[in-house]
Amino acid sequence: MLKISNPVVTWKRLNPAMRQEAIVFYIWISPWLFGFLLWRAWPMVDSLYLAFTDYRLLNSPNFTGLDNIRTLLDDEQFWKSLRVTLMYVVGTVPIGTTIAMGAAMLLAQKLKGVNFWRTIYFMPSVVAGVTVAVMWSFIFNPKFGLLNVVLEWLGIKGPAWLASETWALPALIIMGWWTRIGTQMVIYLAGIKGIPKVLYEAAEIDGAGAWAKFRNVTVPMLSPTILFNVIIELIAAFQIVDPPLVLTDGGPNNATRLYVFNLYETAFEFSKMGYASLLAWILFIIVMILTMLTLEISKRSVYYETEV
Amino acid sequence: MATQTSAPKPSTTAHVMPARFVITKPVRNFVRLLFSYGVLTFGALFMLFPVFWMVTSALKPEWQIFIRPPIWIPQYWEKTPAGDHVALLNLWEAENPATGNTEIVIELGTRGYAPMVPIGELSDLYVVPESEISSSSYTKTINDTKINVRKWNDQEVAPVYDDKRGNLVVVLVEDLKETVAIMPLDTGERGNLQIDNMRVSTRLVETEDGSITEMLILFPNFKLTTLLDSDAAKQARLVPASEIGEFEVMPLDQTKTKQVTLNGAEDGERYVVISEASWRPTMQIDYLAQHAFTVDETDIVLEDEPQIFNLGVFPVGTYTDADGNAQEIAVVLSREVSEDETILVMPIEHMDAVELAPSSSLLRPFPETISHSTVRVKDFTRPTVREESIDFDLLGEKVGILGDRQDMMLTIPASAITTAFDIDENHVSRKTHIYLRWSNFADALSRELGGADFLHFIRNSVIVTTLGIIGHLLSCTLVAYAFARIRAPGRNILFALVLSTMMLPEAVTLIPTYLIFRDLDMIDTLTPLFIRDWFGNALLIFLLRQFFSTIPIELDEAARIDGANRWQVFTRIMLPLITPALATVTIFTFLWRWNDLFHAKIFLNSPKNYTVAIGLSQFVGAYEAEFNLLMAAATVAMLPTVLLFFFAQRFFIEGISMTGLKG
Repeated sequence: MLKISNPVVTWKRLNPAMRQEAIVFYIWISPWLFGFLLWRAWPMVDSLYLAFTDYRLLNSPNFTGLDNIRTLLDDEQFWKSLRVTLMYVVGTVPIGTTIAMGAAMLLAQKLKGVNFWRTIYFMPSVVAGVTVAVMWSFIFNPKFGLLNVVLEWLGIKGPAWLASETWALPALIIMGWWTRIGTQMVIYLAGIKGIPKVLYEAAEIDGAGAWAKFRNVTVPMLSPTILFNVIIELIAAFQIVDPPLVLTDGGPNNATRLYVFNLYETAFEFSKMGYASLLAWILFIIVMILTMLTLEISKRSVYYETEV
Repeated sequence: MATQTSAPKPSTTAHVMPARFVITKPVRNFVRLLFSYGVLTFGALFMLFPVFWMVTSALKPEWQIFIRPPIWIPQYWEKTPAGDHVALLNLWEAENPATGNTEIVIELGTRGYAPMVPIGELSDLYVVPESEISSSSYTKTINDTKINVRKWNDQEVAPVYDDKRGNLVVVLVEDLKETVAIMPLDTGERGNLQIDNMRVSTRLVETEDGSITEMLILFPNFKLTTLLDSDAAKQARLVPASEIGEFEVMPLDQTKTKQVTLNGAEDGERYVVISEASWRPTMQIDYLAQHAFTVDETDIVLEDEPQIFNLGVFPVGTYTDADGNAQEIAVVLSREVSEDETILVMPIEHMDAVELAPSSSLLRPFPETISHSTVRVKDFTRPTVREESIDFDLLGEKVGILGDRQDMMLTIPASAITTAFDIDENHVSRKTHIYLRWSNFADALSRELGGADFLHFIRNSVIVTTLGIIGHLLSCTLVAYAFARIRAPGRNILFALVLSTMMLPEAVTLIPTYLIFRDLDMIDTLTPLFIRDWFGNALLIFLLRQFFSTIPIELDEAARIDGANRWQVFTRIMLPLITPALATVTIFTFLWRWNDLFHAKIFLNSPKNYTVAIGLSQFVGAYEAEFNLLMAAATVAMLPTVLLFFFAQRFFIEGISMTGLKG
């Protein structure tokens, strides 16, 4: 078989055998290609178009120019949902990722039963969002929930949690930690295992203590993993929708109106498909900006190993 | 190993290094390990506890959900039939001080006690701000009596009153001496002593010489419970309150019990009253419907004396029908009790079916028409509220509530009480055994929601999940193999496109996707939940391509030389080599489809098409306070994913480590 040093090939330079292979390639990837066009490319274009229309499911879409954007600027519900989502993201991602990294660091030591601990920490990640919501709603129940019982033992009168405007979002954030720590921890563990032992040995010879080793070896070597985790978590946290969908309906007084829940309600409860498409595109833009921002910020602090 | 610092000693010789606090390496390691395990355990509790609480709650009867303090492990509070089996008595465990054995007992009554001292014996009472007094108290024994004591300027004082606003009334412990003794709190008359603005309650006790002594009450107060060997419960009887003759409160051992005589009982035999409650006669509803009928008041002639059927009291008389046939009847619903002022009667020969039930178990009845009368019916087919506290033959049936409420007393003949003993109430514990209420699961699974039950939702989820997995396995392997092995122009650009869609927020394509499915007439079918899996998934394609790339290309080439075509190479050589990756694909697809609430919410409308995820979310509202059933449903929804996780953990970890796939 012919070996090509440069894998980039163009149709013109193909001999018949290679041309046939290229055709075979396109036949094999056709499910994805067709799916990409139908479920990704077309919907992206379509929703961009709908974002500038008054489409409400029963009428045919009319192009309304910047009307939707004007509505958006005055839409208190939208700004509220954006604020709530940002608070949710800030509450879950940094703390969650720190806890996950801490757990991974602990497990990376020579401890007994690493698998056992890992199993426990990871297990919540496989539990469905709706089950998590149902399970925690029982713990958060103001009257007979366990959390308030425990608080009472400590002499604290617990809040109404999901029914309280102040405490509903923190309750959702705690649920968020619970579900998201395990996955991140596994990724951190893999990252930590990938750090060459020689680096630690070298640091020890230089007289580095535990903190110095953490600061100068672990963190830089782990920074691509941290970055990866943070990006994934940011994107995921921005799109969390199950808890308000199952428990709070965005309330009380919009305190848990997470972004995608707001979008869902706008589109599928109030049938404002055009306006909801705009919301979807704003989310898309926010996620893209966040991702790029994270990449940009970390360019300075992330250490990528050049040799593998 | 201890890590104490010692004060540095002055060095005696110049060339010895000054003593320095050094943590040796083994100590440091030990501390580090201890810290690690501690933190990990704390974290593990946070991770495990909600699941533990959900699963145990799923196995509890409803009343254990609400009880405080919480019951961690579902349990059964053991009971013993009281004589005639209509009533039940709680069983307790306590150590009999006489024998030192732990006995299984029933409770006869309780009585409060406290150390008391005659006021006349004291030098003075002092009002002290709480801030001047030691906050901790300790127990001191004076004259064989335990007393709570606190410190006030080096003096020992015993508090007698706390106004809860920072002031205490105390007496000096040295005043107490021989005069302090334990006495029942119900001794003598209640009195009180006015000190500043505080009213300190006292007891006025008559002494042997007939004079009255005012006693001051010290702390601690405690309760003694009189317990009786559970075998004696066999002699208990449920007695209508109307049969009670005179009653008097009599001390039994140290505990006061209510003792009564019964009308018509021989020789004034005394009975101890264990409990008083209101009961109602009931009857199995089908039996009632079969035999009872509504009559006009004019057609019946009642006798003066009511008759008793299985402890239920009913007026009896004769009913004459239009043809002049007379029959003996009992009035099961009188005009006064009936809601629509009808009279429901029943032939006397069928009255043996009457059963008495405690009124407290008959809450929340619903009306049902029998003959022309409205009977209130209690459904015991799905007993939830404290159903363990009643024990009668109709549990598990629907019963009609008849007649009037009847006040009944549960009694035990005083002669049966031979082994009673008193003990501090804190040393008595319930006799329980672990009892897992598996029937909650059956109840939860069969509960209907808009014409479909949970089993139906499971079936739908299985369909969606299976078709999703097949779709992903077929499409992703083909596409990933092509990207890994087949050369073509544009391949790299297309693969970059695959990667770029990995992070695309789903919301941005959601609305047009919904419109596509609407135009295809697929809304409210299961199709939209899995059909897109037949077109590949960026993350999984990426994962599989990585796997294919690790397989040496020589394998393909060797097979091709042997005459295999590309399809044969793919199916016979490549696929078997990447089975672990296929397992990962299967597992993650399973997880995504099984747990998918959002799309189910968007694409499904009617309950018959619901999947487990949306079905469970709808149950949140539908179950109201039946948290045990809700938790059972949630446990069922969780079970497949967690089981899969335990059996295939390796593939989860591998998939996540390679691509950051999330569960």
